[in-house]
Amino acid sequence: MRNLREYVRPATADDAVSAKQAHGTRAAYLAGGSDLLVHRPPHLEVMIDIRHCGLNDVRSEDGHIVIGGAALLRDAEAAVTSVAAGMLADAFRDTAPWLIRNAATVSGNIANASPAADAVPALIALDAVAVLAGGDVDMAPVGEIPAGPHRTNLGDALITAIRIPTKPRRGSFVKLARSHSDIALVNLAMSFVPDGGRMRDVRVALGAVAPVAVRAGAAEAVLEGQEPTDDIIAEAARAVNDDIRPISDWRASEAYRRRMSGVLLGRAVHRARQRTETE
Amino acid sequence: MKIAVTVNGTREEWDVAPAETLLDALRDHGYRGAKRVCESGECGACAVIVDGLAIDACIRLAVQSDGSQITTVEGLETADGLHPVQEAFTANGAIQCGFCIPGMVVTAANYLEMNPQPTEDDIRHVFIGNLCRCTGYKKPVEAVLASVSEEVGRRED
Repeated sequence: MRNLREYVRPATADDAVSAKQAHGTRAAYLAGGSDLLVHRPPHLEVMIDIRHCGLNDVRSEDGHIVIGGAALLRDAEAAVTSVAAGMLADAFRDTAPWLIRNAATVSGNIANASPAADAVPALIALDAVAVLAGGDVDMAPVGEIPAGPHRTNLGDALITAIRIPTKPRRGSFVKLARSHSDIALVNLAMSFVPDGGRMRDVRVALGAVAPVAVRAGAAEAVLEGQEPTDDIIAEAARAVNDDIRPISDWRASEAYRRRMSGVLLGRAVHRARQRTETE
Repeated sequence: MKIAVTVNGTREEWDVAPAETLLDALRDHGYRGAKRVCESGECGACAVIVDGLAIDACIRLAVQSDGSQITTVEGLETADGLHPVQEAFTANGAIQCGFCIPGMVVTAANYLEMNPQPTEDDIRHVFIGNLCRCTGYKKPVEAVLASVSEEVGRRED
């Protein structure tokens, strides 16, 4: 950030977008700073602080929870405890330590486009949609925003909100990492609509096993309409191998990530099932 | 750039560079309780309370704090004496080299405002963002728990 020369504090999302469009890639939207002020990109000349644009709230609205584009992880976590049996709150809590959750935003976790972002698979597994200002489209599924490691399809667009349907689902978020809020070796979120003992409308999404978080279509197909028996879980754990493209890096090898993806799938289904039974 | 902040109840007007962090601005103006260590939001040694929430000051631009109320570890003490968390850290031997302690104390003091009766597990979760290389976490966690029980005792007096 040695070239940073300007800080702007727009009062509306439209003003924020105008500032971004005026400066293009030389400018960045800034909220919690937990990624931008760590990486401190040297080319940045303008910081656009989006914390004063009226985007900080989390509210319920016509069957959705609407997380403002500058809402803190801490506030979002508190507002989603009933969504999918706590699955989303677990993902928000595991995203970062408490000090960081007091500053960082849900939208920032998406826009930073880390392949290991914890909030992203959880939002994908709940059919969450991002509301955009200044983009080619007004809405986009959260899963379509990351384009690759730390690259997005946002251009100059600003995420003004994330809308999560509150239809009754069950689910769970599980993560393999050195500690709760460390960067994931693998993370996995799943959700479904309970139908007697069966799982309907199953969603499974994983992070840190491909350049962007992925929906696990093969594993979903195995689980769809089934009761979560040990045989079905084992079959889904094998199928998830077809859904992922992990790499080896200093955190974990490709082979380990593959094996752990199946293990996490089993844990996630077990946890979701336990929660369904105890309610 | 000119900014105005209130630090520990004192109004300050500072001239800061656009890329300057809140941590650097605080330390340059004499508030050295917040420590500069990792400069990447990993270790919590620079924790300060900004507008009611404890954050890592190393990953907040000073200009972002224009108009904010800031409390550093120096501001936790009142006319009645040290903050209960400070008292408890001292009484429980939770301090060794001490470098991470201001951040731990600020973090715990702010957390207790939101959760006045935490479990040990709650405190351990909160301290994930506060790294200590000497004592570990047993004594600091015990100190926070002790500060809570002492506060309860005081209320009964």
